[in-house]
Amino acid sequence: MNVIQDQLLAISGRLERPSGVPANALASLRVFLSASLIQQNPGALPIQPDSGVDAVINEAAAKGAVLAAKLAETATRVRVLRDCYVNPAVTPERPTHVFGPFVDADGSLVQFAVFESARFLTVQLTLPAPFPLVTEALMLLPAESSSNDGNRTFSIPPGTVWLRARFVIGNTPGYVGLRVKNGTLKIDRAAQPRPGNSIGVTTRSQWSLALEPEQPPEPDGNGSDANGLTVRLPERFDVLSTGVSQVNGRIVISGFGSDLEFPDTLGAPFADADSITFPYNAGDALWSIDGNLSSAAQLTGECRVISAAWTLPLNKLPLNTFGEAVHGGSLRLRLRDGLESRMRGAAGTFTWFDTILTANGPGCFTRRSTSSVLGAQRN
Amino acid sequence: MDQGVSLDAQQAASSARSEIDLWTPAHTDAVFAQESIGRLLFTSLRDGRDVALVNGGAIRNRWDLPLTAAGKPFSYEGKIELFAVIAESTGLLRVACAAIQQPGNPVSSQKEKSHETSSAYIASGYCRLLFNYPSRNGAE
Repeated sequence: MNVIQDQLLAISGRLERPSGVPANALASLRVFLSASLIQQNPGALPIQPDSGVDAVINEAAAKGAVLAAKLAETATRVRVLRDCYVNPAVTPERPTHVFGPFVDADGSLVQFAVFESARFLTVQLTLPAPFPLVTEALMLLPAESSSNDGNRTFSIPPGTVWLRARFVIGNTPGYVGLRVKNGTLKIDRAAQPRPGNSIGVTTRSQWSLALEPEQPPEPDGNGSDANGLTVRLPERFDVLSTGVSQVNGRIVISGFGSDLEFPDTLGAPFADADSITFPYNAGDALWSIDGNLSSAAQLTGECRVISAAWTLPLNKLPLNTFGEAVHGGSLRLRLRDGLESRMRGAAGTFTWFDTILTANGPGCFTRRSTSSVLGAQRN
Repeated sequence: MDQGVSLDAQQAASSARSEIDLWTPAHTDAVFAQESIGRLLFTSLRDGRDVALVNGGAIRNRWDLPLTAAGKPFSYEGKIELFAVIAESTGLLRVACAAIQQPGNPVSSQKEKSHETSSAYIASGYCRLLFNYPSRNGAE
């Protein structure tokens, strides 16, 4: 049996589709799995149908080969992340597809997220002439970013920006990323064109990056708590080559419990393993909720807001796997006491202590690190 | 899924319990009152699912299978690792549960049972349940 068919069977052979999941979900997942496996094992091509293997596996392997060839035309890397359906990890990137839930062989409920690398304008840090060697990728800008003044000022269109995190907080590994509405990169001397869609900026250059984070969509009244939510993120995020960063603009949440607004930033940003936090002054704010839209749980109570912040995710995967950032950042509140909930189908209540509220993004399920079953490994 | 909201507590207490009839005559009690609760999580995803999740509590199964050598069902008592109510955007409600058996109460045989709307697995002391609300006898 070919290694692709073998691994397809090992990963997906015993998955079952519970009620409510589209009939083609498993077949579609297997095509992406196959393409990802082929990228990892290019020597496995060509894949011959194996009469000892289920026809659906043979078909997925064949379609995966076609998809892998198509992705190769644009140098797109694909990876597939298997995760718990009820509690998936937060990822810094936006998946291009999510398949599931499926019931795995041990009865666990799982989903598979597909991530595809995106095209960027890469800004390289280089040593000064006469030996302009690249030291590192300083930032990734939307591929359509352009300059009208001889590569001193770059206009950044809507898209994703990934920036070396150490320019926001010293010694922080990885890249901090966000979706932006627009932005500007200014350099004190002309950047040098480099092979591929990249430019070189010398280590002696002074530069400034001004970004307007992409705001979350407006509420649409579709009935869930997330669909009824309004979140406002900071209006501007500035970073200088000297390692100074500044956030401007209020953060706001409304439509889920009482409305809250935090106008003022508070102190320096700090980093943890998966994100950078930009603190805001929480004042003496209280947050209360008296029922919500969800049929899974009902929430009531009043809490003191201990801290408020805007957070951005960190990406520590290999650079050639980077895709679109998941969002323009998250609003995060720390709440003290006072919150109760009732779970559907259960008698009695749950009392919450020391609660983190996160808004925007796909909801903060966990803060644990992600691991990919296929594709990139962490740096 | 561009937007969502979540609440996540690493400390919690509870007075709750949930009684679940998976299929006749299989009955499960999930008890959270006076049990250690490691985490509570509520998440709502834009155009996606809502999840209410508990890490902690105790589960007791009274199922028709598996049977002991004497022809009696094995008892099963375990600690809940995860108990979640999932409200899909389509209106479908699921419940998922994973538990690990407490020492001194072994289940040596395996059980896998699936209905159209429910499935249950016990193997080597590990128990997983997945079913849709309302279950056969109405778990509410």
